Amino acid sequence: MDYKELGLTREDLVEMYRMMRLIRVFEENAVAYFKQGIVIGNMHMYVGEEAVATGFCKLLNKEDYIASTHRCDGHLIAKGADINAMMAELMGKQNGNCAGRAGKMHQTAPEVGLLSANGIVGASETLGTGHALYCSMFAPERVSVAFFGDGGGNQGAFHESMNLAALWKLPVIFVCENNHYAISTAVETSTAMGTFYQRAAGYGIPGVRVNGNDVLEVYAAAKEAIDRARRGEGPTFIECDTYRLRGHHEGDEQTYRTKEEVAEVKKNNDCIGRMQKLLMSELNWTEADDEALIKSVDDQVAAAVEFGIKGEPMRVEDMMDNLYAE
Amino acid sequence: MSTIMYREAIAAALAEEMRRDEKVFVMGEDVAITGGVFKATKGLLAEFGPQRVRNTPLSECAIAGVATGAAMCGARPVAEIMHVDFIGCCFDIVLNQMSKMCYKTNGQVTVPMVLRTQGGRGRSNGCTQSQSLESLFTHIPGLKVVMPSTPYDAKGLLKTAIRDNNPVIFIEHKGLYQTKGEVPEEEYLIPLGKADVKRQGKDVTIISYSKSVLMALDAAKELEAKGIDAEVLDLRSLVPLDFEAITESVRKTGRVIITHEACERTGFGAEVAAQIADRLFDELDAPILRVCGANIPVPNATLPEVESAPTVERLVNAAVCICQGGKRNG
Amino acid sequence: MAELFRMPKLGMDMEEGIVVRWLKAEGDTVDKGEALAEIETDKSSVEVESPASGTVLKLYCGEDEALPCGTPIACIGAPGEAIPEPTATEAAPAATSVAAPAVAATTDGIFYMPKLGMDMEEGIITRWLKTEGDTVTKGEALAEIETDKSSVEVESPATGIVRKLYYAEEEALPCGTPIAFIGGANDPIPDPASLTAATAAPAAQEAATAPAVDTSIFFCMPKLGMDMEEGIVATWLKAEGDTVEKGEALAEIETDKSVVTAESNLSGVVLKIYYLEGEAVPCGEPIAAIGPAGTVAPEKPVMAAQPTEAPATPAAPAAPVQVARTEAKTGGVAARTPGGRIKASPRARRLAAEKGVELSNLQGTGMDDRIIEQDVLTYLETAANAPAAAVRVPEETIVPLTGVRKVTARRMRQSLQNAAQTNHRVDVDVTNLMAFRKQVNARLEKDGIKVSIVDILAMSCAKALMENPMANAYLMDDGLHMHNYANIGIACDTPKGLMVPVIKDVDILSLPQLSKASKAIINKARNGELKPDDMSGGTFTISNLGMYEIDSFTAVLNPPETCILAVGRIADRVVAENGQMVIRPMMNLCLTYDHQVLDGAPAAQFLQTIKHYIENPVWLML
Repeated sequence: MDYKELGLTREDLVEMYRMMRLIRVFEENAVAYFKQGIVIGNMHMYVGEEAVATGFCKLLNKEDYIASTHRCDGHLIAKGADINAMMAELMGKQNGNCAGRAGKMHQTAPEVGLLSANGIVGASETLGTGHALYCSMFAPERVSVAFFGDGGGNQGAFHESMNLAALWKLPVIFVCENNHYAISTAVETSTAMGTFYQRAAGYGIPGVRVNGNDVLEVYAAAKEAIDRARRGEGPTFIECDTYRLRGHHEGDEQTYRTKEEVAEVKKNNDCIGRMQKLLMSELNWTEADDEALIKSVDDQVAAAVEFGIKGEPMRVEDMMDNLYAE
Repeated sequence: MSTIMYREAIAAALAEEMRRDEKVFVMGEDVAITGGVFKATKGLLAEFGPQRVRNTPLSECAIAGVATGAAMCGARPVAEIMHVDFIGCCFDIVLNQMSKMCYKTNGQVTVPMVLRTQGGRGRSNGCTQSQSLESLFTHIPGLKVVMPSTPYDAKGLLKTAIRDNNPVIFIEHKGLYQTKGEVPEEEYLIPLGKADVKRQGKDVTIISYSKSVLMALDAAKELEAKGIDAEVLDLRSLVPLDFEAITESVRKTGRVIITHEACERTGFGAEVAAQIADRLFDELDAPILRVCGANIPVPNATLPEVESAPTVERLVNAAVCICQGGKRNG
Repeated sequence: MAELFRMPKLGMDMEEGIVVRWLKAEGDTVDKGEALAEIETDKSSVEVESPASGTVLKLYCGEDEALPCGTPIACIGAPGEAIPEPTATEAAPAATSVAAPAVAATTDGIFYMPKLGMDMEEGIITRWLKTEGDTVTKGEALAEIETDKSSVEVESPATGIVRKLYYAEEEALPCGTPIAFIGGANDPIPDPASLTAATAAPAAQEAATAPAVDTSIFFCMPKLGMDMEEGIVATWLKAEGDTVEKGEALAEIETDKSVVTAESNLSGVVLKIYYLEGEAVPCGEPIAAIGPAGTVAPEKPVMAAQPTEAPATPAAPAAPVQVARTEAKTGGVAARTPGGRIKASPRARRLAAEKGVELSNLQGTGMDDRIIEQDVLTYLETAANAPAAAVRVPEETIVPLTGVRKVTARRMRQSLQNAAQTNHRVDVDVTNLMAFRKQVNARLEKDGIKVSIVDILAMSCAKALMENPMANAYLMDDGLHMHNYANIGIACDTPKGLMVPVIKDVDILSLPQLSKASKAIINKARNGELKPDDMSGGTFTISNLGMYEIDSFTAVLNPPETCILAVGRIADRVVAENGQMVIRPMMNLCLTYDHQVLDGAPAAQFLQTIKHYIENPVWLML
């Protein structure tokens, strides 16, 4: 994929490269602090899948909506959520983005259009479609992107949402992050066709499959789909063939796949490695540039960690609050 | 004042709120051309067009989920689930999405929507289209649950529910749609969480909601002939619950019967009884009785369908028992 | 520097893990982030990465060993580097040091092991940042303390000279332990043993379970007799803050048998009095703390070894509790539940209680014949209209059982529960006894001795007991304990209640000796001066109610004795003698005996023996 044909500049590429690094470093830190008991909860990491969120969110405005899943860190960060408040939320702190009551899987960042991540696989499909309905009725300049995994792709909600969205020509992009495993169940053993994108045909909407670890491929497909949605031509379904480099959750034994399989992806098809290679080979990206970028990312995440640690834990006295809106 | 049907009151409330706020729209199965299988959205399509009166496929999950997703952005959808029995098809949305959004986001994302549905028996619709499932909803923190019994209440409560910034489960009764009542010409609202004394009395409080209120009023008439002066308290909304009104009435009468169509076991009456036993124990002059649905699926054939629900006769018998002594079911 | 690799905590509730497989051996090189071991938790199995690059110097555990989180399991460093001894706490996540600096609690320059978190129970001094003789200012870092969660520099609570570091580095110490003393150059260094744990440290307050409580400062409820289980603090003779010497009277303790002055076991200041006067306390329980002035006494401790039953007696003689009782009224009969409880509605009960109406006489008209509010109202109307039937609300006061009353109650109940008590009665002609007494007293008058009827009774009983040894036995778990002596208890009514002082060896005393002994001990009883020993060892008891004009009564056995003799009054009665009605001074004796030990005939024989001695007192001389 030629970045120039996509209208991307060196700055754009560096920005996306940095974003993928930021997501990864954030999550690696989250895992490290989880292992110390400081970050709490059920940890589903996005490591390896950063190109998907990055490629899509590069094209989205702050006002556009995204609907996310239990594996939500990447979506939040790529959409521009405050990583300080994210880290604090992971630690159950009052300065977290939900004041400590949501945790890893249920974070929110309404200021950037991510209304709520979700512990229910498949919920993002209907909620994201609902966001799109709002756009189509009340905010036609906006679009909605619903992220879900190969697991979520096999929920009934997927079909109901795709059908309704296609029927009503809603500005929603269904993004299946096919990371090959629904917990331990390989996509070949969960999905009749082995892939998802063909299903779009059944609803009369475009469906494509791209290398989800190549941020430029993701970007290209996302651009077409988002433009189409903004033109009011309705939904698109994009299957991003990606791979999660960590277990389903932290502590996952991963007996369902070989270490060689993971190592192979890490070595040859890691989204960050791919972009680093591109920058260095074609855009005069130096080791020094790389180190400086990494340092700046590390510093940014370290500040988030410090912000989180300094926060006060959610108090029992506050637990009854905000059950209802005024 | 004009006398209108319950379903007309619903349609009128929807129309008034849709005129008032462009963010209000209706979606559901068959809500558009036909005006709903119970005609509660009749006339809306003509006035507001297909953008705001959205006919959906038979996809409850999408109806509830898409409405929730739109509400999260600031719309005020009134989504219709044709029969409350169909809630199973979209229960995740009710259980995990609309109800928890405000709490889990610490109030940052709200779900200002109404999920309109209807339940209850009386049409020989059998076990999957006749249920009374309000307890499923009252058990979930974050929802409000409203069950009006009259056209007046239905209109005033639905308007308030639409304006409420929380998800409201608004359960109508298929046996009430054609009942008539007086409704003022001018606009009015009824706050959620305000019970209504449908009949004043001093001997026994019959607590009820939805269609069972009408039965309670019939029973009260019969009891009057027996020298028992029954008070009929219509809760109108189960969440929030007007315990103040319950307290006032129970202080007066000292005797309580709770009646609803839903199965007795862990029905909403159990909650009301428990709260009364807990907070008003010393006011009680008799055990709290429940006259509720049998703990079976609703049978289809006419007599069993009727007899598996509370009846005037059973209600009268219970009231006589606790007011005039004797053995229950004697 | 060599780095320790510890059993990681892979989840909030993980407490231990198992090394299922070492992926490196000792001597292997390993890169930071490289998998070092496979760890199994109760949820899953995970490869854990090395925290450092270097050589695996040491694997502290084998495979398949379950180890608590935080336990060092490997050491990584440069080849040849010294291998550290593992300590058992978890490596401090660097991040927690962001927390605000901790300040140690202090009292007068004492620096205590701080409590740095809710669940911290002990800490390790990993490094002293000052040595003895250094000056330190308040707020300056003094020591590095490691908890199971983090490592923190702790600041000095005072400015001065570090006079004493009580503990070396690497010692794990409970929170609240004095660990250093900061003071002036000439201040005496307090002995840490004399310092109680800092009250500022909440851990030290959990004395109930913490084994660290210094028990040497407690004055405990003394055990004043074999069967004493608890005592009542009758009077405190010292107040908090008073100085007391060892051996000095500290409190008066009331037991089931007597009131005893208890002496202090310690010298010092009364730091804390844990129980008010009137409170019952199990033996062995600390009731006061005594120590050097200025010491902070711990909160009320509970000694683990003691039975857990809490002293239930109120602090002061309890205010009488008033319970409403309603007047009986003829009428109906209330319906009752199978459990016997009156069926009445809560509302009816409330009204009845307010108006003092007795529910048991009301006929309920409610459901299932339950009494309802209207029934009570109807009753009240009727009552109001009936002129004489004004409703009176009598009162009944409840005085909690304390002291002797409580003990007597318990012992009498035990007696009735544990013995097969039955009795024989006999009328005794005391004509001879009266004459005998008169003669004896005429002779003893010059010695100031006046023999009482009871003395002669006691002597008679002692003789009879020697002739009927089963009546003088104790029934114990291991069999009958026979006695070759007769110790006779005399039941006395005293201002404190029933007391039974015991006259020892009555069987070998002469009548004057017996009379003197009995007078002395009965006086002690009346004056409340009985010691526990004065009331122990009895083998037989005499209870005399003759002075109250009681003709005859049944006494309850005084365990573990087999017999008790109830003595009625002496009164002139008409008796038949040789076919004639004659008037004789008569007395009724009732022998209560334990049928487990004595059958009816031997018991009758024993009583007959007593009767013979009384009617023929001259036989006592034989």
